[in-house]
Amino acid sequence: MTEQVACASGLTEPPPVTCASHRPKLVVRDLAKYFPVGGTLLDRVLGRQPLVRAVDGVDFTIRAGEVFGLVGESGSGKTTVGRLSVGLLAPSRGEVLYEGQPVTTRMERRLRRRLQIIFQDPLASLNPAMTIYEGIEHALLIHEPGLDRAGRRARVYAAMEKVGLAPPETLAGAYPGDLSGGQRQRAVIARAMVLGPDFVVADEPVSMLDMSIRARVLRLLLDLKQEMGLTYLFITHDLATARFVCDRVGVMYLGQLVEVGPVDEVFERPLHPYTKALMRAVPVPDPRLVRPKELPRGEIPDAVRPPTGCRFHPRCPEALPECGWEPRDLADLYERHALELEGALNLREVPEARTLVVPDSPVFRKLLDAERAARTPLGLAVEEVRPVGGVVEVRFRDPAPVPEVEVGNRRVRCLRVAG
Amino acid sequence: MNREPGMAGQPDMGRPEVILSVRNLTTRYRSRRRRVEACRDVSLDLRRGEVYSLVGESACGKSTLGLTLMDLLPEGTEVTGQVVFEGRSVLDLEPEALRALRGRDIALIFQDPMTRLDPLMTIEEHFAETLRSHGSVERAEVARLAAQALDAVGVPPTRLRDYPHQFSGGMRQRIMIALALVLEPALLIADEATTSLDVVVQAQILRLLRDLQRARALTILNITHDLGVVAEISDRVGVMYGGRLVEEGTAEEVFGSPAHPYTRGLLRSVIHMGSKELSWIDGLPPDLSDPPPGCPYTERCELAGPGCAGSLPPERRLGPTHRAFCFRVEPAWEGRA
Amino acid sequence: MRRTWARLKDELLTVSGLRVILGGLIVLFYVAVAVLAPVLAPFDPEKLGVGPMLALPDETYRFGTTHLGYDLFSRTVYGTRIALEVVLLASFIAVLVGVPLGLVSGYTGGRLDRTLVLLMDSVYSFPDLILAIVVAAILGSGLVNAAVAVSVVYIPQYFRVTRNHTLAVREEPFVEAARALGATRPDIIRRYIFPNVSQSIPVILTLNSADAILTLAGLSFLGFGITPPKPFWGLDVSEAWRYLTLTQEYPQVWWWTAVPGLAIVILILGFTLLGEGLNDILNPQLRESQR
Repeated sequence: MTEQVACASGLTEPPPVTCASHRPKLVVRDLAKYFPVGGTLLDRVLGRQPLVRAVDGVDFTIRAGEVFGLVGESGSGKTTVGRLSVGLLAPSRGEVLYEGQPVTTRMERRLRRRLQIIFQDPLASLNPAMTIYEGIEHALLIHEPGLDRAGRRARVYAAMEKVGLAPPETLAGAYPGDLSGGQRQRAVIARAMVLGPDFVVADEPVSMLDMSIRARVLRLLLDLKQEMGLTYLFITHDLATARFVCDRVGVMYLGQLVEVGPVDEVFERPLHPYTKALMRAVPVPDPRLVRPKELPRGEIPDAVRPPTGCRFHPRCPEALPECGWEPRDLADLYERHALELEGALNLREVPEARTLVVPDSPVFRKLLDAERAARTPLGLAVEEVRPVGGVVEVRFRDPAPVPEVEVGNRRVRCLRVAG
Repeated sequence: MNREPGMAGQPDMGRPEVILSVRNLTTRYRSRRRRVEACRDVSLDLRRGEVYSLVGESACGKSTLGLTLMDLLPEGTEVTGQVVFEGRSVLDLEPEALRALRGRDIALIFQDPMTRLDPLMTIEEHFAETLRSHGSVERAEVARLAAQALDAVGVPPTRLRDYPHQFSGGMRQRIMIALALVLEPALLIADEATTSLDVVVQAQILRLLRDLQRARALTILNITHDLGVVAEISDRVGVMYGGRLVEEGTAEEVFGSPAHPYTRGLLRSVIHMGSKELSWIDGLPPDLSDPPPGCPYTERCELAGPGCAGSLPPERRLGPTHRAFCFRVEPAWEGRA
Repeated sequence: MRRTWARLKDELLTVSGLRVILGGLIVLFYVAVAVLAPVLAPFDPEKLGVGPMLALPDETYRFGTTHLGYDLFSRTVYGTRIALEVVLLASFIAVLVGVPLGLVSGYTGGRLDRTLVLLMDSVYSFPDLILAIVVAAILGSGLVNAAVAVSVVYIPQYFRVTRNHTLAVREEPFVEAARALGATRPDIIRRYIFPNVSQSIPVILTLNSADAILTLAGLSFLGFGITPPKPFWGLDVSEAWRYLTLTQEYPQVWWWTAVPGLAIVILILGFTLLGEGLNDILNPQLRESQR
């Protein structure tokens, strides 16, 4: 990261308020957001629909003037955290504090104008029925009713020039569909900046732009930060962009933060196995550096019923027996070996419990015994196998609670790292 | 990454045969009274067993080229030029023969599998449909081939009777690949096949494609805008801009010693883990409904000279496998490719 | 809106464009006849006994006369006035009630939405004609009452279409962006939702008008809404109907049934062509995909 705040000391939590530029801007505590989804009609009526746990207990602090990155894949919850941070969604649990004041969906205007957000899709973020001018002007109509038409025009043009939409007179009357992707994103940025905000959430601001103009928009965002003294929450799935733009970064997986720390450290010496996997998986645009990689198995699981214990355990190459192995993992294993074993055991619907009850079969026993003999983490997590009548009960040990440890100036949520 | 050592610089005898040959291909769409020239005079060869990536940004013509190769363009599209696949001219084929070609000899996978899979059909039924459209197959045989195909791409064969919506995005893409390869085509065209996948899943799919490719001597035409993906799996790379092929070479040549100003600008503007500064290309891509007569990159080019906008730039050979289309690049190699 | 015009101009020469032109011409023709009615009609349509009863068409009475000596031609010509006035008024009312309710209901959601949807669905589930009859019976006869009776039938449609479209637009990022700016709900509905939802209204308007003519005709055929001596096609057909057994002696009855009936059919055709054509042009996503 080329830009550094003058007295940045790279701590995860801010020191007691000494240096003014280290004031915490945004504090997020035990933040959670659940979305009800699907279920039967009865479930809906009774209010007991399944919940997607999009964000499930997130804590972090963003200091004044820094660019804090939130990286993760789809389903990680980073976009939801972004929306919660500007009061577009109400938290299910926990709180978001901006300079000590709560951020809610019904904030006062005074507060709301200082928190802005830039979205991913420039075309979809602009009202097709409003010209660029009208779109930007609307912010002023809401927050500065004292301005007259000439005053508003001056401000809108100034904002347009600041983001490089020049000459403003020509482009002001254009509709979003008439502009290029890069221009549209600039319009979105102008709209966010015209009120002179303090804290801006940028949610994948350049992912939908062509490569050759991405850097230009990023440069604009960084310049604006310097000029206007902004603080950013930068959300992205692109690790390379995060590395360049951010000071500190938080890695999210399935609704939780697994690692937080200064960006260079997290990316050069990742501690959490998921961060390591991400680093390995990112394609590098240099054919000479292509090397075989060890990739985690499978994909991000369902957020309605996340894996027990550590949510990454089913895919983790460094998992331990106490990381939360459960009956579903055994069902998965069985499915993967099905062709070899030629068995027909329906393990599809595995209920929530620490004990798996299935019809006893030599095929299943063979797999289970092999796993335990090989002393894999899954095998070692099986506490007891009890045949009862025609079924067999497989009991798993309870998962150990996953601690958040501080390692140097990083925070990592991992049993193995905790040692 | 299995690149043949010493592929550059060897006489033609060492290189595998050409299975697809494109000559002077120009494709024009008619859309609402405008004629858009999506591809202009593109010529390239695909050799058996290689992974060739066609890379470019939006509206460069790469997707159109892919569709033209299988004659999958909408009504009213004008195509001139030649596409010869294993000796047959694709654009002149009768509908029956064309239908047989698609799927059996050339297969196509897209960005979003969900729109290509029928939500009302099980996976097994999808396989049945594919297999039966190219010859009659018995039910038991369908199940066997399908199970094998799924296993080869890492999808548990026990899920043959599931429906598409019951799978995750990565799984669906694997199923698409399995369906595409079950008839054992010689050429697979992948159009932004990993673009909407997460990083880890993308890496898994790329590895899968490489493994399958090596095991079956499959030729892959990989159409993408992601330079990282290109570097990961490609043997050769073709860079497109404004409907034209502007540079072509092995992956090492294009990434290591790019000749065309656009390739250089593009590579410089890619943000990667070691980036220390930001770089971009000023200007906007050309309007393809009103294509300039000369080189489409002229407006944004740092090397542009007086002749550039007047006529299409000639091919300059920089090596047996490396060429660029630019007035300002000096030819460095006289031999025949 | 300007996108709408642009698209219309582009597509004028396609099949859909021809539908729009043809439908539009038919409707315009009727409008012209309605406006010029006093000039075109030789007799006062409501005047009894301007001619002999059930006379066959001749030079004076171009379509012949009815059982009470009304000139059928004049009645048919003036019928366009009633038809267009009532249908326009009915559509106006339906839009004015249905669209805002749809917008508010769709955007707000919650209990208000659920209640309104329940209400509208209940009204919608009534057969059109029966509903119109009930309302017309309660309100009594007269042009305005007939318009209100007809409008009630179509309010749920405007509500539904607007609400559905609102639900979709509500999820768009630009609406979220407006909320992030701090825009109030009325603001958002007015400037962000409505302009992006309104393009479906012209299509519904024309197609509903076609239906409304039929409903109105049915209403008056059964004796509600518009009553004699007002000149409206439905009434004429209704009265002619009773004489159908006497066609041997009075062949005029054929003209009496056919002419107003045709007037109804052709106007409906006009509106339908216009509506279908507009729908094809303005909603291209419903067209067949090409690959």
